[in-house]
Amino acid sequence: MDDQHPDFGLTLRSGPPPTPATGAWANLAHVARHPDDTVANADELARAINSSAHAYQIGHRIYAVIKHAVEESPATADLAHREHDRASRLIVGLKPDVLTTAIASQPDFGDRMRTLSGAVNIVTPAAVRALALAAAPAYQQPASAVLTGLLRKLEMEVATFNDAARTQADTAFRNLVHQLIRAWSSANVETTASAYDHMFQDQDELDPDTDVTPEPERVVSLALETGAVGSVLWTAVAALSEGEDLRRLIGMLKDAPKDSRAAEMIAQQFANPQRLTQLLREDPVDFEVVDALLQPMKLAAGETLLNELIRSNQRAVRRGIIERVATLGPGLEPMIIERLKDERWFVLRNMLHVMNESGSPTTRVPVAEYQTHADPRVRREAMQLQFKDPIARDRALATAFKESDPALLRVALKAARGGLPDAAVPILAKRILESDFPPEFRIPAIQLLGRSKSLLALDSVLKYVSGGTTMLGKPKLAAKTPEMVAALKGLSRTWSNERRAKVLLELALASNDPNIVAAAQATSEPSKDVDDDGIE
Amino acid sequence: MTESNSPNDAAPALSAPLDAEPDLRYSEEVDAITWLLDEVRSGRALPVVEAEAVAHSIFVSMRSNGQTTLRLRSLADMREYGSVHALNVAMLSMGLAEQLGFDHSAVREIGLAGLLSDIGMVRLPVDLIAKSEQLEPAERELIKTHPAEGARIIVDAQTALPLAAVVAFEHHLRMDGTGYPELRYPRVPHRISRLVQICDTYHALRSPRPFRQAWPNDVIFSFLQQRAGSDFDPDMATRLIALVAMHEH
Repeated sequence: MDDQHPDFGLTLRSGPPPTPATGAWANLAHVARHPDDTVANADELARAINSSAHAYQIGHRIYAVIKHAVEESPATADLAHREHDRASRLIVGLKPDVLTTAIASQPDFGDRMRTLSGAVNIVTPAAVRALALAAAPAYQQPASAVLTGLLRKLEMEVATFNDAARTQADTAFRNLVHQLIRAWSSANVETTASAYDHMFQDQDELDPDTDVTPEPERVVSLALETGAVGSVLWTAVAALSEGEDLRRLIGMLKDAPKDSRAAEMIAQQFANPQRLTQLLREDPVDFEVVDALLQPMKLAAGETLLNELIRSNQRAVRRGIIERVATLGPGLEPMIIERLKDERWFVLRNMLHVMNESGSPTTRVPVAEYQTHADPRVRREAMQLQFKDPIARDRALATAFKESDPALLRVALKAARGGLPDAAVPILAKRILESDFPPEFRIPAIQLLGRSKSLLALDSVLKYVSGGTTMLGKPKLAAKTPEMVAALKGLSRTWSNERRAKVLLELALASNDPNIVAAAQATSEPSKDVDDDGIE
Repeated sequence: MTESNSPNDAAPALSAPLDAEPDLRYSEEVDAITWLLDEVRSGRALPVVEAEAVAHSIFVSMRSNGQTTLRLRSLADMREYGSVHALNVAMLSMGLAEQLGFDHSAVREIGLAGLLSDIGMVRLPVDLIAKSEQLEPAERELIKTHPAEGARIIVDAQTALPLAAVVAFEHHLRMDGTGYPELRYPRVPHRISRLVQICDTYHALRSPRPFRQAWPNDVIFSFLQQRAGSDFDPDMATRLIALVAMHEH
């Protein structure tokens, strides 16, 4: 503090300890260089302040006096009346811009609103008007001539109405100024839609007969129908952000006009990762609601969906998530790559599965590494990805046929329907003869070999059809088995002109068994029975 | 204004023309409303605090002798129609709200909703509003945009006036949700929308317009009664008729 500051050398007069208000008045009188620090005459003090060189520097002292007048509880009604009158005189007597400076000296809008509202309750109507007009510029909301005129009129009416009308007029006048202060305060504090999130919380039950507040759904409907967006809408949206209400809100959004600005903004307002997480952890998950949330979020939902995919232990939820995350497109790849650093098998399986479902390019993911993973579930996903890669497919299939895991073999056999690579033929031919080859896959495997034009495949198929030779040295058919019939069909379709096959096919055509005859007559057209080969 | 609810615009001359003597009641409020409308018309945001001040001022003035008095301001100049209509709809709405037992705070809120119910008209061409001939179909369609425009003006003001926004939007809807504007989300109009609607209709018919003279009360009452239950809330219609009749006497 320097010597020129009005607070310098502040001392209170001797005597009994002052009440806070007394202290505040005395402080104000002192800094205003007013001789009477008891401030018996507030008009004089106001004049002294107005003419003081420090009038605009002591705003906080003036504010303190008003605040103490609001907070003080004098012992008797008479004392209270006198104190309120004194505060009113000061407020009315101050130059408006000095009073504005005093109000603006309190940077805490909450404190400012409480003090002003409290003052509006206790000061005279003239002081109420003075406070309102001084508060407006303090909130950067200058009062228009219209507002000034109406406040003056209301103040006059309070003064001139008869007793019966005065009370109502006085209440309405003060109520208006309360509303103004609240509005100005809100305009300064609540500038974003998110500021309305707290609204409607802890609100008392509304009486439907006397409450006129429109239902939030009605307000949202209006906004969606008109495209209007403002605080009214955000309040309503905040009230519809939980449970069933949220479902209704989402239902409304789904029916909104396609180009609705309000719908887009509402969706952006409440469609966020936190809310998506919340919905995905509900039991059961309502994917209809989730879908409405995903629509505006698009790729921004990727991280949450992948995290919940990893987290969820419910198959239906995982399936639902995968269906949705798979539609997010190539932008998902970096998120998947990040999660592939996690070594847990189910994380790897899920990430590879998402890649499979989404059809995303796999160039940045070393899928081949996962084909030798210890867990067959990871290997299966990796192989499926490899099968889709034209370069890696043949080698992947060859590797896959060496697998003993039935699920993996099933996937490989299914993938091989699109064409059995030559490199895989000897492996498959050898595998079907091995004891650990699942019997249920033998026929599909023979069918695959039967369609291959590889000579190695032919040899393999012939083994199932040929029964060696008779005692007279003539070739004969093998005993009829499902494998034999499948192999015979393969010969008929693919090798009908091959010398060894031709001999066996002729024998089959001469058979008394209609099934064998039919198999030998199988055409070379692509078989329709591939879907009936037991591989799903 | 109540284009959809109004009877035939070519109705015979039924009542007195404009008041010969200027009516000076509520002059400050009328001036303030005119200023409000001009502000919005010129593209500025709705001055909400002034609108609230007007509603409070009307509320207080209606109680100048300790009792609620419904003395509608008469129309001395057709150019004042928008402001006087807003004032009188606000007054009628407050009177009706009070009769329905709403507390003073709600009464003022309803009055404000009545005051702003036709604010969307400022977005229409002035020539259209002042037109002395009957409106063409295309012009009628244009008039039908004013509820949505009004709602947008109020919502865009970034101040929480949900009731006023809803009333501005719904005050031409019928009981079954038909009328205008067309609703994407079918619903019955809000109770206060129905309240303001009947006040708006009454005052529109009671006022002289460039294309017809004012209707006398008995004809208006009959019209309201005929359409009560279809176009209008029957309870509101009954209460408004009683309210106007009581104050007329």
